[in-house]
Amino acid sequence: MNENDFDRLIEKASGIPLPEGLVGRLEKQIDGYAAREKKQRIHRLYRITGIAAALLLGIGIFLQTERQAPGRADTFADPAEAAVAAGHALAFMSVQLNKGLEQVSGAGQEFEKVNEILHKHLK
Amino acid sequence: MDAEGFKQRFLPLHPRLYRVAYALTENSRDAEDILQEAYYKLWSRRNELLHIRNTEAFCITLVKNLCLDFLRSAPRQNRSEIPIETLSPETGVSPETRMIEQDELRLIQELIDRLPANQRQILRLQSIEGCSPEEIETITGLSAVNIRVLLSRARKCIREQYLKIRSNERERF
Repeated sequence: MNENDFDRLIEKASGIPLPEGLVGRLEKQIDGYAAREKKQRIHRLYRITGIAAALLLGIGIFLQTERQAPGRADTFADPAEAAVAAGHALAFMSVQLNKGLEQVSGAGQEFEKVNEILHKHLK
Repeated sequence: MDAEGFKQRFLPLHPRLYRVAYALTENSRDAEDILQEAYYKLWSRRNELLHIRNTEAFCITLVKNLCLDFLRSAPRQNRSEIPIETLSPETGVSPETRMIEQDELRLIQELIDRLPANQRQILRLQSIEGCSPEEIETITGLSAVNIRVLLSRARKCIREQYLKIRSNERERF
């Protein structure tokens, strides 16, 4: 056997054939990765949509209840209403003031009575 | 990049990648596992790889690194698993000629298995179609001169052993 034939044999003997069905297995593997990613993308989309829907619902309910509640205003838009409210407030204050003054006057009379009794006994 | 684009770009490289993995691991199952791991990594980074100029070189380097990681962690066997019949699928030759060639191939394969690991590796890499000397340098980390020397030693060793065995057989008969 000459050197060239021998080298050819060595090259053949060191050759590496491919296993049967290798490309099919690799294709299946890649398809599996793509399918798994698609599934994860869909799940993520469902989660985000669910959270967004819950937030929108919460905001909607909040706004609706705010609109329905009467709420107190700091001021009146109508001057006539403002005058009536002011009159009521002043009347209320006057009644309370009169009550207070009566109590003070009653306390004063009691105090004088006590003083007379004390003076009578001290003489 | 979708699955079809990925397959079009990377799947045609699988024969060379498998052969590189086999040349380094010398085990078909390990080589296939490494190839699958390589394709998983390529898939995970497929959008980053769009701008790579030399896809093949990148993939060969990836496979080489995976093989080196694997070899560091696992013991290996030297024996070649390649069935002789797959190496000699020629048609149109007589069964006798085919049998003689298979016998020769079997002997040479045994002699290759007895070589030191680095010579065996380079011999196998060199047999991969289209594997340039520069690629062998990249894969093995050896210089072109080292590779030539190792190849020459390997061939010389095989030839000497082969001739010795054949001459012993002739003397016996």
